[in-house]
Amino acid sequence: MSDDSVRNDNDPSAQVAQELRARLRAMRGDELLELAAQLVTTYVIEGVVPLARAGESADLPADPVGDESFAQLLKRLKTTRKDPVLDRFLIDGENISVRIDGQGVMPLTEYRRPNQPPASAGQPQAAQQRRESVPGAATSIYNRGLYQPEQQPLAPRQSGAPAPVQRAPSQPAAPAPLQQQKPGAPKEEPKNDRFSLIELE
Amino acid sequence: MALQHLRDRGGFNGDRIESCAMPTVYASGSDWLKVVVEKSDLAQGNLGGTRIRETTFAHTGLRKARLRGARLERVEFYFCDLNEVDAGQLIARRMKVHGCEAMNAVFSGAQISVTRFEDTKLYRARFDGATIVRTVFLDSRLGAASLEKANFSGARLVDVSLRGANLMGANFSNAFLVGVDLRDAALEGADFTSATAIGCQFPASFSL
Repeated sequence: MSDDSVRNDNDPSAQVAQELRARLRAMRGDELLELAAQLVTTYVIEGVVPLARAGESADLPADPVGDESFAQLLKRLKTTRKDPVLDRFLIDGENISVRIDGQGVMPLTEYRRPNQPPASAGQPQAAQQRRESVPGAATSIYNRGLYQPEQQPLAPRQSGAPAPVQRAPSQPAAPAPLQQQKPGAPKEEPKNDRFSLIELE
Repeated sequence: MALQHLRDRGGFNGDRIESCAMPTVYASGSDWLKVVVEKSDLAQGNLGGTRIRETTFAHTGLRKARLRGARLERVEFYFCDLNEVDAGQLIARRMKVHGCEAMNAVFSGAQISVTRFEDTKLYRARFDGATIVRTVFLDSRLGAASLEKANFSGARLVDVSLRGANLMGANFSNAFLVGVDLRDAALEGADFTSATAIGCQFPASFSL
């Protein structure tokens, strides 16, 4: 018999493996199942880096998945998985389009303007409120970062209208308007900028 | 009002509970999502079997609260009173416990993973039979986590950092330790009877 076939029990790694096996064999089935499930969830599914490799930082590992938008989620899925269905989606920033055979590229998300157009003077208040209540991309939890905080209506609220809910200050503050009103200066009527928007588009 | 909310909706969703006295509250089996609980009193409350996700408890009294069998995910406790809390069979993932007092707390049979206990007093805390994975016990103020006389008997610790921890008189009998960092830990009087340690790092002067 050659020397190669003889198992070297003095090998430290073999001893560790043997000890590990012996201990795992002694564990109850449910304990083993529980441990295996936790290990797979932590290190395989979530891909958490072990503490030994995490360096000096003992912080909890980053968890960006909960903060990403739907477009980012799609982008991530497209890069991680090669799927013909996912390949039909085109991601441009936060805009999502889909390529349909025979119909070309269809946008899925509505056109996103960085700011809401200012309320025109002649527009009725009820129409504005109805527009706000319509569920759309502006109110979607996935697109909060794209929109500036909604402007407070200029007209006083009706007595039966609900009070506006205060949002957490996580959103960036709205940029100062170009034509800043000085305190004490006469207030100008808001201009109808419909034509300027048409020019922009 | 908070109690009415709890009764009507079976939990909280995106709510903020501040300066509410709700001792002995019965919230067993409720669902808490994205809740902020601040400066409130939930002492001796029953949160057994509760599902709590993405929630922050700050400066809140949970003394002797019952969290048995609760499922906690991305839950943070800041400067809370967790003394004598009963968190047996708890399932916690990505939990953060900072600046709390959890003396005599019970985590028996709990499943704790990707968790960080920081600046938290865990004197005589019980982790017996618990499964603890990828967890850090750290105390930046004292230089070591205070786990004196903590009970880890029969527990399974995988990828756990107890570096520099005060584990004097701690019980690790029948524990299964894999990749546990015990460097610079105070292990005087610690009991490692029938414990299995694989890939662990012990203080230089210590041997099993």
